[in-house]
Amino acid sequence: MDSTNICMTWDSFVNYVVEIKTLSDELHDEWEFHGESDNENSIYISKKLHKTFQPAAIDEELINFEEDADEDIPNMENKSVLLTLEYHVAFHPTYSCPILCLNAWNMNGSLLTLEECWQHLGFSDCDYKYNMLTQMDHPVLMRPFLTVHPCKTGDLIGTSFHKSKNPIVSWLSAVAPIFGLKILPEYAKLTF
Amino acid sequence: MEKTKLLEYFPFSSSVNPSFWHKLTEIKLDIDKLNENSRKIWGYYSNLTFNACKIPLFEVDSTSFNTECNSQNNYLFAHGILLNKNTIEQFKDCNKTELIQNESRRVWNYIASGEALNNPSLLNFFFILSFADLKKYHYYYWFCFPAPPRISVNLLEIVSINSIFEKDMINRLSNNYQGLDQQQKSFFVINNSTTNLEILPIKSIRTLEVTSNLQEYYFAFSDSSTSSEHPGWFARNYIALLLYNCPFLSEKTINLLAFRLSRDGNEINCSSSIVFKIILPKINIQDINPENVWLGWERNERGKFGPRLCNMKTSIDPKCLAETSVDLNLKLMKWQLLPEINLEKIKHAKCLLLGSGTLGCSVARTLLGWGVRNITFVDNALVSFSNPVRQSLFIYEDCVKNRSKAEAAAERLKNIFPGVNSKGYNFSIPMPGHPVGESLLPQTKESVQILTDLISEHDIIFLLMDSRESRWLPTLLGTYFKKIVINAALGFDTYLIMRHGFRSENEEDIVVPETSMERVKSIPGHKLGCYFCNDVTAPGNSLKDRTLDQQCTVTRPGISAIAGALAVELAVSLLQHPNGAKAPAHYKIGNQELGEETHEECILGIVPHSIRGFLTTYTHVLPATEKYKHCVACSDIILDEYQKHGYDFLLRVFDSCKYLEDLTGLSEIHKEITDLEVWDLEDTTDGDEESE
Repeated sequence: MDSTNICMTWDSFVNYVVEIKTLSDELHDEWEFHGESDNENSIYISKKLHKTFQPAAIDEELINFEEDADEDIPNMENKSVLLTLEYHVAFHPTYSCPILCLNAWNMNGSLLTLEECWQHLGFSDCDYKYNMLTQMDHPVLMRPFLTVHPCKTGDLIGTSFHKSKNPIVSWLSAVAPIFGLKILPEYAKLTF
Repeated sequence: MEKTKLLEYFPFSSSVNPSFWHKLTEIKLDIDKLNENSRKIWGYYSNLTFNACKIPLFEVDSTSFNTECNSQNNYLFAHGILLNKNTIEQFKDCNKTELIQNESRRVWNYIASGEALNNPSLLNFFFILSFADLKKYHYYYWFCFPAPPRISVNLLEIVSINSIFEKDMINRLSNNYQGLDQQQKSFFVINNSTTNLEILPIKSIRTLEVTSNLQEYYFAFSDSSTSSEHPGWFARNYIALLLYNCPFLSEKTINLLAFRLSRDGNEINCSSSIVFKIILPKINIQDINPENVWLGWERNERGKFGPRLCNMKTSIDPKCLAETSVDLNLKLMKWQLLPEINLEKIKHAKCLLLGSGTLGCSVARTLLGWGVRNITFVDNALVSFSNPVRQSLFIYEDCVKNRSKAEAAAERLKNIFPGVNSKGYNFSIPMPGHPVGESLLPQTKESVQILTDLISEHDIIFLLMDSRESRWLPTLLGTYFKKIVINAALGFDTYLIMRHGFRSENEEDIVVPETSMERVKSIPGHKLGCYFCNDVTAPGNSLKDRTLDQQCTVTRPGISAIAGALAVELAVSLLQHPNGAKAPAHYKIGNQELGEETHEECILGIVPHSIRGFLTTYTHVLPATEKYKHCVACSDIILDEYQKHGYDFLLRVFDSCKYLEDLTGLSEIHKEITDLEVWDLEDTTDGDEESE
């Protein structure tokens, strides 16, 4: 990585995420690996987190379908509604750098909007939110994902983490916590 | 007798990954189509307590549809069936009792055939009843985890695994568990008769006898529950399996080990597991077969037995995706560069494009770029073979099919962006000095009516026609209805973009421009002229007395794109100006141009009255001119006359443009100035500004 223009090559990206996945398995850290090594552009890693939050509004139409509960299935009062946050680390070919995408959904699978995500991540009132998390197409899945804009990633990795043995870990541990994803300190050993 | 209570089971909470709906949609549209056959799917759950999640999740995602199960990490899998109905009625009316009976027979057969002993993961069974409304992208669904009814298990006590086994034994157990085959992980047996804890496959219960020492056995299962009092749901099927295979366990006390994982630093271990000491009931095994309806429908968000609904329109419907992306692109501009820009005002501006030629196409495309949703075209021509190469909304096919330009343009706009509300009207705009014969009277009257309605219904009127006189009526009407009127006209290598003055009788409408700059003057919005204000003749038949090659003005091909784009940008600037159409226009005296030093009038910069461009020198000048009190289109005399006589007045003008000159006093002026022989003025607005 001597050139500042090319922050990371595809091959090194793959090596770094494979390292992360391997250590994750040792640590039972729940990172998942996607893609086949023979299909160049299909590789990314992901991790899910769950978060409980306020219940959503009720859809009136469904009430017609309901039956009275007389079976002996206990109602365990698990009324807290759950939010799933899924983080993806993929390679962005234009910026030649890793990108962090995330999507958040309710239990029924409906996605949260960009504004709702800001709210859940606690930066509704933040002035820089527009530059931080925006909507872009996932480079592998080609579906819109909330994405930490890659325009600064190259600079950050090029200037601050160029000595790291695994710049993705260094970059993630700096950036991901802002978006609610903590990186276990054990990964630090990959960087030196 | 010991005081006991009944064992209750903690049900799952289903959690659907959006990718499940994406995949289901794909399969329904491309493979299953109207086929309603059930489909094998996979579900996932975990016995690892997630950090903050106290809910036993049962997840499905796009990999649920894979032939082979490929769950990663600490997920356990369940065998499932997707029953996707074709209509909402079938979904609603299908017999739920019959359904659960049919599906629970599968589980019962696994138990009865002994298959479940070899592959205990078969006890993890679920099905989803669903209906996918692929017009609205609404997904109705209902999870069911069938389990036998009426097995009353008495709970004696709950003991932590830590108080039963030593720490190193627990660690060894954790390690051995990780090494288990995926199929065997969900249900297994632990024997502690020897010094070493031994993990046995579930089929080892066949070797159990009445005389076996049950206290040496722990009937273990990977437990999804996070509750300290209840085991997870699949324990029900486990107990049925035990009773079916070992009837002698009835009324015996056994150890049910809820095997749960938790994180301890870098390690995962099973020290959060608990043992339920229970007394299995005495039952007649036929009382729990599927002829007795099994349980397992999931409660919905309100705790009722009913389906759930997922609305995926905004994330699956391509039209919604297009709209969101278009708006997001504009929002990025707002967020990153222009926080004060009012995008809603632009989005909801109703734009009327009079003329669907090179200018009309270019204006429409730029409007789309700004997120404008309401665009109406008017034109009287058909798409001709010369059009598509210059007029960006048309294709060759349109000429072959003789399509009307307005209608073809409106439809093409929808092809480009389905979120636009575009319409096309095919009619001629009546013109001064083009007498209307008897036979054309009804048609003329109708055209005037449609044009009047269209102008009154829209917010911005773009004049993009190919002749001067066709601009007269819309100029008059636009002024009369107090609309923003943007005029664009082309010469061979010159162009003019102009916003018409805003008519106002009210004092408060008058915005007095402030300018302290030297050599900069300004004209308030209500005093700005229109396209005709600089003329001293009424628009007549400009195509008369010209040779054929002059009737259709030739232009450099790039000009219409430049002029069209400028017309839209001027309109957008005007919309963003705090005074809107009343915004004053500044101009400089002498040869200087309005430059950087001009104070910002709106967030997008200055809002000139007119932009004249010269391609030969690649320059613009921004003159501003005052309204002319004798103007044949926007003067009070004309507007009063229109207000008084309406259509009759218009008809007289169509018959003779001389009438306009008489009315406005231009005829008088002509008489006076003929003597002076000064005609310099007229040359500045020569006829070659118009083109197709």
